Amino acid sequence: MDKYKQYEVNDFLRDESFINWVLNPGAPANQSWTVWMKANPDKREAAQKAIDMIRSLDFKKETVAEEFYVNLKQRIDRTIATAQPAPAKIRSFTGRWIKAAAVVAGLLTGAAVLYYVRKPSYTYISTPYAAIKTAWLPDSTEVVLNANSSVRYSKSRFGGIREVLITGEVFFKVRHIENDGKALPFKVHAENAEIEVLGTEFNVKSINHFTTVMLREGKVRFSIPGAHSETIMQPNDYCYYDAAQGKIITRVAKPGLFTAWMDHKYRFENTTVKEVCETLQAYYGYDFIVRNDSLGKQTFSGTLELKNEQVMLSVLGELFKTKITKEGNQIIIE
Amino acid sequence: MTRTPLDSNSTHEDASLIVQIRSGDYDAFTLLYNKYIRQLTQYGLKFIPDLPAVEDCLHDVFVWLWANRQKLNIHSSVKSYLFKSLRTTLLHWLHRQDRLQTLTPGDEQSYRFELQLTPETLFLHNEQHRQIRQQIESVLLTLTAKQKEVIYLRYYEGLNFEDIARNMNLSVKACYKLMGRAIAVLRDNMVCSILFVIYCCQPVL
Repeated sequence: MDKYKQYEVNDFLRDESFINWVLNPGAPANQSWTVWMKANPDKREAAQKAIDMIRSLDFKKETVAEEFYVNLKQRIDRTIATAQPAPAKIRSFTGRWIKAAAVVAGLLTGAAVLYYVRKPSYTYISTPYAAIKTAWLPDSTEVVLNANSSVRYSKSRFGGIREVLITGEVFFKVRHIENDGKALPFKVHAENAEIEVLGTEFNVKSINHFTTVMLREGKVRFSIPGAHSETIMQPNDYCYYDAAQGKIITRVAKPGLFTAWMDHKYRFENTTVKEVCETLQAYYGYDFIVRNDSLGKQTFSGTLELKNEQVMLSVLGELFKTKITKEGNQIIIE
Repeated sequence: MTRTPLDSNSTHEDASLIVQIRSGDYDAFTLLYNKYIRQLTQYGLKFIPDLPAVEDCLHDVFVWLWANRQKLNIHSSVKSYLFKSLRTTLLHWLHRQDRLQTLTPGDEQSYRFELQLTPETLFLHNEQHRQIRQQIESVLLTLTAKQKEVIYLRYYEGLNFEDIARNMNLSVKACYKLMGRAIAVLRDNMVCSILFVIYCCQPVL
């Protein structure tokens, strides 16, 4: 490192390895500078000036709410899942409108920033359409997310209170944890429903404002806090809240029907065509349109493989004994 | 420190992420997104102080990256590659906005790069530091967008000159010169200019 003995402030300022060392003094690759500085006290003043200057070049960061990054990622996921790369929105407003829009956007952003700065930060796990993902929470609880679903929890609070928020459909294998001989509770929030568990396996589906729970093992409390109703579920129970009757309905179900999606399949038993279409719509994100009203009410039993969309559609056509066509984002069933 | 410059560990990690992404690993894609999205957003806002517009550009960059994952051929650091992709998209966006003003395509002279020092903190009690800060602030006003961008990418984001030159379609030499001039202005203001140092000398490579 002999040439450095001739260095003036500006030479230091232009030296890549010197800059890297100032920006990241701890990195092993930059250690030779730490050594050199000790060995060359006469150059310390010039080097210090350069260091001060580089350190002063700390630039202002615009405030961007964490929510922005989460929403942007979901938007990217959606675009990729539908495989129709949408070009950036083309703005064809006149100047006046842009100004007006900018003012409104500014106000909204300000409000959003104020709002989110006060909220604790969350960790998101999410899936695009037509994809299934397995993930683990910090307590090693296993979660399997069906398509277009998400799990959200507060990282900082999760150690004390095990609480998650979900959308879509998620299967849980809750890890049993004991604290002073007491089981640590685990809570799932889905829309207006709350599920409290003590180490168990269950499936939650929350689509179109309608939440259902299927319990495979263990015991859970299913409650609708807003309606003051709750029930304790037993294995193989299937529960949902019937808003019209204002109470929770419990039925005994075959767990396999509700968890087949984890093997990229849907199993149906005497399910109406309308419900089948709703389920597929939630998975693929397409609009399923049934042209024939009477077909919509017929029931259907069978298994659909989800991985290959074209195969799935042709199987569906055979089962419904009708023609199915795909047009853009719509699946049309004659 | 809020800065997140490159280190060699991170470079290896990025290279393996790209390998995974090429083989269709969506989780690796998500990791890459989460790693750089904040820095990229900050960089984008320097060009266009309009978050929805920057969002559209970032969206296009990442969608493009995934759609073309099998063809990815990255010669610089991955971080630099992402910065370059965003820069190109942002300039296209700006160009579309300015179409009415008869800009020739590829004209980069007209872009802006808004650079301000971070708001003063309590740590700056030292008088000498305060002086340096004030001087940098006044000098920043006199620099061109390109000079500010080079300073930002080199001293703040920690990209190397070669990558910066490639990103900005400059030769490495031109990049050094641009830098040299910026430093000259900075330095002349800082040390009460006893020396008017000649920066035209060949860059040390």
